[in-house]
This record gives sequence, C-alpha cells and structure tokens, in this order.
Amino acid sequence: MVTVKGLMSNHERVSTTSYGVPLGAQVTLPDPDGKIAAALSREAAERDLAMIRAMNAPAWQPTEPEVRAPIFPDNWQELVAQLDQDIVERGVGVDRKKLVALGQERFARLLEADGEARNERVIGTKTDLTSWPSVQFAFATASALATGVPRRKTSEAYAGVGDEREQAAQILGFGDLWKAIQEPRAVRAIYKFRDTLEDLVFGRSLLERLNKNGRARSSFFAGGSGQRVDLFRSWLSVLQPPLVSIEVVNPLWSLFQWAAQDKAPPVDSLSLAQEFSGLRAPSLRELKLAQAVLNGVLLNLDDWTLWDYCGRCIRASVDHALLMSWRRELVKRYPVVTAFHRHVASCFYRREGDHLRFQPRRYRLFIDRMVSDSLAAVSALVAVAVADCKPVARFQTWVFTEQPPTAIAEIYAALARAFPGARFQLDIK
Amino acid sequence: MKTLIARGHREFAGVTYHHGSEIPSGVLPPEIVDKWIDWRWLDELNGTERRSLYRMFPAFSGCNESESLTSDELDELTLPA
Repeated sequence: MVTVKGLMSNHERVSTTSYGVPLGAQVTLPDPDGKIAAALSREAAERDLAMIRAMNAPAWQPTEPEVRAPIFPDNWQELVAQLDQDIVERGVGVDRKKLVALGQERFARLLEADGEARNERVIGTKTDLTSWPSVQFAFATASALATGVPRRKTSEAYAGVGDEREQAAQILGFGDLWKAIQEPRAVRAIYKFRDTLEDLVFGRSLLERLNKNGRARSSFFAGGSGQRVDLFRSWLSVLQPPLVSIEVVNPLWSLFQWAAQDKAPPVDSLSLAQEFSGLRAPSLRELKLAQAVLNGVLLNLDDWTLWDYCGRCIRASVDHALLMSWRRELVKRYPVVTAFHRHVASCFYRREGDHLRFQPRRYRLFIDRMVSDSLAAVSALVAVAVADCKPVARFQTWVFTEQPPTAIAEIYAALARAFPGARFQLDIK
Repeated sequence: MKTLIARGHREFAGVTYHHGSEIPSGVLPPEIVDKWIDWRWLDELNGTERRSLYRMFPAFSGCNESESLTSDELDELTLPA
C-alpha cells in the first residue's frame, strides 16, 4: 500500500491510497489496439535517429554573406572594357627631359641615403641595401631583429590562441622592418634609401615604356592598384600636359557606410587625430595614424592584426593598449558598421565536431575582395562619366584626365545610381 | 660584373668617396684599381654580392653599363606591358 500526501502548506492535505492490482485480476489498459504504444515507440525511434544524425552531421555548408552590390547600367562590362582599351591605347604623356632631370636628382639623393645608412653600425660595406636577405643578415648578425611583441607562450599555443600575435611579430621583408626596435636610426635610414630606390625603379620603367611620341602605355593605367599607384603619384610632375586628378576622399568610410546603411556623419580624420593625440595641430604622422586606425576599424581588424596594419602605415610601433582603447571608442561610435561586420563574419564559421570554428582567412579574403571590387567599380564609374575629358589613367580611388571635367554633377549622379544612398566625396584638382 | 667599394675615406680627381660607398666603374684607371685593392683601400665585390646602383639606373647616373632588375622588383615596382 502506498500513501501519498499533498505537500502544499496552504491547501488541505490530501491522502491517496492505492492497493495495486489484485492477484489474478486482468488489467484493462486504455490502449486496447496498441496504437499509443506504437506511437510512443515510433517517437522514441525518431528521437534516437535524430540524435544519431546530430552526432554525425554532414560537413558545414558555407554560405556567402548577402551584402549590397552596386547597380550597374546595361552593357556595363562592354563599356568598361572599351574605356580601359582607350586608356591603354592613349597612354600617359611624359616629358622625357623632366623625367631624366628628376631621376638624376633622385639618384643623387639615393647615393646620399646610401651613405647615411652605411654610417650605422649594423650595416657593413658588403651589405646590399637593395636586397632583403642581405639586410636581414646584417640585422640578424647584430641581433637587431627583436620586436616588442610579447612572445606566444606554450600554454597559448596549446590552447590554439595567440596565432595572430605570432604572425604580427614576424619580420619578413622591408615592409616589416619597422618592428625591429633595437636600431631605430638604422631602420629609418634604410626606409629613406628604400623609398628613393623604389621611386627610381618606377621612373626607370616609365622611361623604358616611353615611345617616340612621348607617351607611356601600360595596362597598369587601366585599373591598377597597390604600391605602384603611390609610385606613380611621385612622378606626377613629369607628366604632360598637367593632368587633372579626381580622387575619392575617404573611400573606405564611404563604402562601408553604404554597405552597412549607416546614417552616421562622415568622419573627419583631422578631428580624429586631434582627439587621439590631444593636440590642436597634429603632425602628419598623427594624421596618418588616425586615418590608419579608422581604416583598420572599418576593415574590422582587431588586436595584433590592427597593430600590424597601423604600424605598416606609419612605419612605427604603436602602443597596443592605446590602440585598443581607440578601437573600442570607434566601435562604440559606429555600431551599424560593427553590426554589419558581425553579420558578415557569422557566415564564416565551419563545423568542427560539436562546435563551430571561425575562419578568419576566408572572412578576410571576402572583405578584401568586396573592397577591391567596389573601389574598382567606383573608379570605373567616374572614368566613364568623364570619358569625354580624355581619361589617361584610372586606379581604385583616382582618375586622371587630360581635360578638366565639365559636368561634375554627372559624376555624382552616376555614383548615386550605382551606389544608392552612398555619400562619396570627390576631390578634383 | 664587379662593384667597387671604398674602404675608408678616399679622394680621387677631386671627389671624396666615403667608407662603404660605391665608386662608379670607369672612374678609376685599371692600374689605380689594382693598387688600391692591394693596399686594401678598395673592395672588389661580385655583382651578386652587392649590386651597383650606378648600373641599376644608367639613365639617371650616366653609367655606360646597365644591370637588369630582379623579378620581384619587376613584378611589384615597374609598369607592366
């Protein structure tokens, strides 16, 4: 006999008494056909099957994030192909005498920079400053390749963290030499030499590409990007006739503001630099640093990756803690862009066992491709809009024309049609 | 091709060459080159050991000889066809 008593204190106590099934009596179940038992059995089998499926899930199917894409006019591809062909065939006019004179001036500066660099104790007479292995050997011999990045601990390596920090600490070329903290004067001297050398290498190739008509032709002028664009800028004074430049101001901000549909006001790098440095008249280096931090945040770089990015921009190490505090401030200020990146990043997880792992490399490739494609589209739109003004070169954020554009409103209208709601700003000089 | 490097501060024909700087080919007569090498006033390095800046940029340096750029330099710093 079992007695159960109600335990609720504010109710009257209830006792239930059961005597079980009497011996020899037939139990009458409420399921004479066995339907309920069959249903219960089926449910249990389905549960087991679902558990087995969950434990042996198929490979994660990655999906490309859905982001806004520019809206191009009809026959866009043909238009751009024709424009690029015209640009390559037209070429850039170069004054040969001016080019040689400027080259000679820069060559004298190169010899001077070579002499300055050789005054440093780490650089010997046999060091070839044009070759990275030779410079690396010279620094390594003097034990001057140490960086200020904390080493990755064994416990971190075991836990699979600190990978980015380890990558950021690597010095793999001239572009990373700023990380070497023991010989800052030698590093500065090598960068001075290197900058002049790269200018001269570009100048030499410009001279070699010149034809009898005084024009240099190259596929680079139709959509080129990267370091060579800066090198081209350094030779603008030898071009003829003087070109009109149409530059997109703060392109990354405009692009992410459009992609994320952010309504926040545009960023002024001067006020940002004033805020970060605490100075009313920040130097060029501080302006560049503020712009680099902003661009890094827009690209969703974090931690040591952001440190590496900003360091490359100003060729100096930035205090990591300070950088992170600036990043936090900007992330708070632009929550829509942050949410956009969170949404995009959510599509780059891969199933590993019973959890998902983020794939930073695939995510970074996607963001880089998105930025590169969109900026190429911006320059193509601007170049098509000023096709009558004889464009001679178009890069990702720059277009050069031989004649000044007459209808600037048309350029803005073309950009607004392709990027609805975007706030691109152009600087025409 | 050889690259001539001054050891110590040397002067020739009114031009001073500082320690470690390159002396363009053709400036020193061959007999002077031999003497200076014997006196350890000059290092004669292989072109692969230290490239000659004068030969790298003949159009700007006025050098008669020229040297080709490396494949990295051609890929990253020059104008493609």
